[in-house]
Amino acid sequence: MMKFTLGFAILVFTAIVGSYKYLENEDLIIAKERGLQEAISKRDQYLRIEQRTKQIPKFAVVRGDDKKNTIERLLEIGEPGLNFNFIGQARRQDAHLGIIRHNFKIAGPATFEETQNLLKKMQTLAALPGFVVYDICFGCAVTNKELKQNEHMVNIEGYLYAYDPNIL
Amino acid sequence: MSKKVEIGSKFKNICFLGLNRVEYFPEQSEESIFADTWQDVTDEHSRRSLALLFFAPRDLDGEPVDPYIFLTEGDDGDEQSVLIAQQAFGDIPLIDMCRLRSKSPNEVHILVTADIIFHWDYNDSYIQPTSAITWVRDIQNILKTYPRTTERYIYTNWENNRISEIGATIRPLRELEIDEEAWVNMPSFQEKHGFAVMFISIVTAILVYLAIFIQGTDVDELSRQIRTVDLETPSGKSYTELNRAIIEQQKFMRYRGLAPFITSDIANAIQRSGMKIHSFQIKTPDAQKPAETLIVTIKAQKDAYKGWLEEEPISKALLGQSVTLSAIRRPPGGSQFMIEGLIELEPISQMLSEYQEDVKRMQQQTIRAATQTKTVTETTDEEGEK
Repeated sequence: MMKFTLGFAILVFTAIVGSYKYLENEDLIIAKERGLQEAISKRDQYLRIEQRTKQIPKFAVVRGDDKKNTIERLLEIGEPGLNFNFIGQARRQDAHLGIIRHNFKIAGPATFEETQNLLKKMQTLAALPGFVVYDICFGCAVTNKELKQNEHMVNIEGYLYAYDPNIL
Repeated sequence: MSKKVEIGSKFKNICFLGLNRVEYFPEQSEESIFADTWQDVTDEHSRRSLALLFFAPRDLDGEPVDPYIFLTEGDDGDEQSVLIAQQAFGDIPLIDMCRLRSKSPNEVHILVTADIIFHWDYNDSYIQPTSAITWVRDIQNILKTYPRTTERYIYTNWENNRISEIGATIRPLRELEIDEEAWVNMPSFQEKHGFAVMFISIVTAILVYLAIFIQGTDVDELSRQIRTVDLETPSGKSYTELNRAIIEQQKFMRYRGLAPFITSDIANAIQRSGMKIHSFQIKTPDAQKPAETLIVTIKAQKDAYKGWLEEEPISKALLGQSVTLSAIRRPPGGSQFMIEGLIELEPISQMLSEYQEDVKRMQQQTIRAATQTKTVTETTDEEGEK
């Protein structure tokens, strides 16, 4: 009688506690599996971003080279012809991001051929990547300087992307 | 209605307790053993499958007596001795034959064993002493008290030449059927299956524990995998912001290589159309957003053109001479002749890619052709020298 009662009690206890614990563990396993999927997805995404980050130097000038003199020297411009100037403050999306966007303006007298060469350099010069031009204008500005033959007042505006190698 | 049990099939070892001696039927033996007490003929092993059948007379009130009181030899039946007897007999099945009744009124059953003749009919059961010499005559005397038509059944393993004269059905003792009511200490369902239930529950508990343990290891393994993946995940940067910045930069950079080509095309179109211009400007509609189109604004020299008749052919010529302009319009207002043109960057990008591929293919063909010509010339020269 005792054995039957005790056995039956163990059976009932096992059924209640066991099924509760089993279902709890099943939920936990499902939650963990989802968590693992999310963690893997996050890791893959971050690794892809890391990989893309390595490509940034191909499309942005290194921080420190984004100086007026350096840029004018590399683009072979300057007084008395075209002048390079930064407009306003550089935009930094996040203090820890390491990607900076400058607004620049190149203005001054130049022939069409010089302007074309300059535009090509801005796109192809390996030492100075990161130019994005959004405004090109020939003859938009007036000047009191005496222009040479075939020269016009040229105005080029755009962005110059720079990156901080210590952060990226 | 109680079930009937055949003692031979139910119990392996059977022991009948007579008045002064016992008859023991061990398992798989046709011969019985006689002794003074049942303990003399049984051992520990045989008691595990032993049934004790006894004949306990009813009390003065007609009710059956406590079997343990009857089986407690020489005692006065106090509680202590009953408890001792219960412990002594343990789980041995005790069958009180005096509780048997015939189910049919026209039959009598006679049991001859140990040193007694026990018979029962529809009304009651009766016991009387006998011996191996007199038992047939004793049965005959008993049967005289019943009508001739009464069905007679005799259960015994004893043998006698005159037994056939009785005219009864003789059956071996192992074929004796008893009511479950006679089994005075028949175990209840709980007692009968208690061990099985206990065993099953313990096994179930172990299996459930194992299942939960395995689940637990699965959970631990998943947690470990999550920790490993977390450790492998790059950290220390604001990756979401970084991703957004990279995507934005990529969008801005997408068509940046087209600027020299577009500028050149517009300049060529202006020159070929013969338009006398003051200035021209190429810019994105919104400098804050990555451009999919560009707007070209061409201003003519002041007073160079007078009226629609002069302006329209120039406009058409300009559109016709340009490969990048997809549409032009004259913006409303203003006295100076001005044309606005739309440049869609995606088609131009595709066109340029195809053109560059064609150029590359042609260059490769030219190189291949030149190489073949050189080889043929060298071969001809070598043959000539020979």
